[in-house]
Amino acid sequence: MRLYILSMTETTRYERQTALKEIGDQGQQQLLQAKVLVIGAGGLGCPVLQYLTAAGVGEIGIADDDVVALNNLHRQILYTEKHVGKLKAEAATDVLQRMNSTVKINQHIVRLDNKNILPIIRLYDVVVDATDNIPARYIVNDACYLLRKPLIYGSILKFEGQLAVFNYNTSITYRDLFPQQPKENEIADCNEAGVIGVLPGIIGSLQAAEAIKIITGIGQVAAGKLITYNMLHNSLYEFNISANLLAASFLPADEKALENADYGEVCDVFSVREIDIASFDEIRNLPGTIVVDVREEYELNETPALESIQMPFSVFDENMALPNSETIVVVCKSGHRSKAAAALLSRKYKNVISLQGGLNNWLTLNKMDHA
Amino acid sequence: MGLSILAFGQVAEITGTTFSFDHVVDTNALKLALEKAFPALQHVRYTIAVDKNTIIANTLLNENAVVALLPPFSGG
Repeated sequence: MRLYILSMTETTRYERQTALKEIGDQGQQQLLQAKVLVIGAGGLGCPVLQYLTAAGVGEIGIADDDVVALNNLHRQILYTEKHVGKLKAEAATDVLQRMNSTVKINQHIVRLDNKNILPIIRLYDVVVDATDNIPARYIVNDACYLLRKPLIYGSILKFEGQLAVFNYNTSITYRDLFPQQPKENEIADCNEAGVIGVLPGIIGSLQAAEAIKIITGIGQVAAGKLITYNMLHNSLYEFNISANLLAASFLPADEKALENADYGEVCDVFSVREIDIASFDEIRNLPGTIVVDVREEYELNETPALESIQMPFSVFDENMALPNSETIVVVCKSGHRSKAAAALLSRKYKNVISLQGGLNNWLTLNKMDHA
Repeated sequence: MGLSILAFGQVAEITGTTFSFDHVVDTNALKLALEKAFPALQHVRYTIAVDKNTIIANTLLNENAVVALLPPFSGG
């Protein structure tokens, strides 16, 4: 990084944060040269924008195509009554430039989608997800994954919030936590659920703090961790997000795949074909059929021995070499992991099917036949 | 001692935020038992964490395991 001496004004302006030995002049220089994209200038985006502008982040992008509404004002504290009806990106820029005129602010007045997001994200070093809907969260995640941009995720529901950092010193992404995009009606959003203004203020401030830590390289970033906060209980929990094989089957393989994906209403991932028990029994011993069992070792004694290749899901390798075959049937206990594994194998092999209902179902039906 | 459950968001609205639950052998069994006790859970999507680590496959539960039920939030 090219370093330069802070100007007199900069020295004075930021002296209370450069006084921290962890920040110092060098940390301030890093902040002044950083480029951060904030996607969404609502409840979470407002505190993120305020604190990053005040801290002297050199270049800040605001991506938002919404206008300020009267019922936004209780939580979107950048805006005043005179901003109602105005574009949030413009109103925010107006306020932020008065707060710190030395910060370069870029307005992206566009609803980011999977077709327009990549060129915008490319312009920045760090991305903050301050969006308010599920499809946007998956689009932002998948785009940051493809471009390997650190992503600071925040979200809220009523009195609770979540915070996490993805693609930073770890390959963990949002899809490791929630692999498949739920349908919009499965998740309550703020507009329906209600929210106290201070809650996005707290979570957005945590996001801003993570951005400053990432830019200056201090402290422990919540990389690969999910932090939950409950305002009513004052409770804070931290979870380690485990790498999830399912994530790999849902992440776009490349930029084209991102552009072509349907985030509006992502249908059941598993376009994987399934085979019923009767058909499975017919083909499983044929010479052209391979059975791949993805159960864990401790589950194996739950069914009578079945001729199969063992590949426990926890260590599943989609690139494993399989003998030549006409059909690959993937099995597990209940038919869920086998679907995911079949989706992964389908990238490399033809005619991969999953056993519907799993070996539990197979065992039950075979017992009934014998009875 | 049974399992300690921490629930969040939409899950907590159905189950309450913290509660004890009779020990079951693994997370698949727990999911079934929870859905029997709280049928509305069948319609909520959530990720499970056992002793502070999210799980990606059926996981055995120790006698005193702490299990978290983590649904996604969309609001911002």
